[in-house]
Amino acid sequence: MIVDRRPLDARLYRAALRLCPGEFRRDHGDEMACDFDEARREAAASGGRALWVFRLLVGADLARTLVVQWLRTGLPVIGGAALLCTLLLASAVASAARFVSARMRIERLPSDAVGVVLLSVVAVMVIVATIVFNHWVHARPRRTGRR
Amino acid sequence: MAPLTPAVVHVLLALAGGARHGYAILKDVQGHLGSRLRVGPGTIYGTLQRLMEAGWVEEAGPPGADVDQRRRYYRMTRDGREALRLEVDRLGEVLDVARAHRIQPRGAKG
Repeated sequence: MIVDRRPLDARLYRAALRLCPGEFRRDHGDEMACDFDEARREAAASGGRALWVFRLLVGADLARTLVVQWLRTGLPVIGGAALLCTLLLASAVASAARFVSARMRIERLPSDAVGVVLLSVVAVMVIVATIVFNHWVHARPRRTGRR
Repeated sequence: MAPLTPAVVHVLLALAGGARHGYAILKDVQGHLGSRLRVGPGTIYGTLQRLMEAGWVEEAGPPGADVDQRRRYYRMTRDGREALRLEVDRLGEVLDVARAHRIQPRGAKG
């Protein structure tokens, strides 16, 4: 069995790097881990307090990087937009079902059937909206103005 | 062109002297900023990635034989140098306006 002899914070940093989006992690994950090791050695040489300051700063930097890099993938926006569209459509279907039942003078809707229809619509919409928004976001050229 | 972010300006300044690897850029930027703004590897590589996508920075081969082979080296492109020059011009104009209003940078003489 291979034992990782790196310090605990270095192992935690490497584990946290796995939370980055795949492309960014493949491009820069190894370099970031390497830089962490080097900067950690320097901080440790300056004493315990410097090491703790270093850990806090690098932790905050990684947390900010995770947010920024995931936002840059567009996935949070895609997921939010897909969810919003789905909720809107589901509520529209529910309203239509109420309207139809009132028009047809149905006292009580067959709740199982309505439930199945609504769930099917929601599932299909989530899939369709995610595919559409994902395609739309990634088909657009990236902005190159403010960097 | 919109003003560049401080991280972009300092990464480009770090690359103005030639090709460097990520850790050297990080140390350089920390040297420029001192304790005013703390940057870490995530900020540096995120900025480098954006600059490479914009065509302002590109990957370069190692500058010599006795270099760390684990590292990737980056250098500024002509477009990057031009963007940096425009930003420095803009900052110079801001400084001129500030001086006209008798606002001197801390530590300035005169």
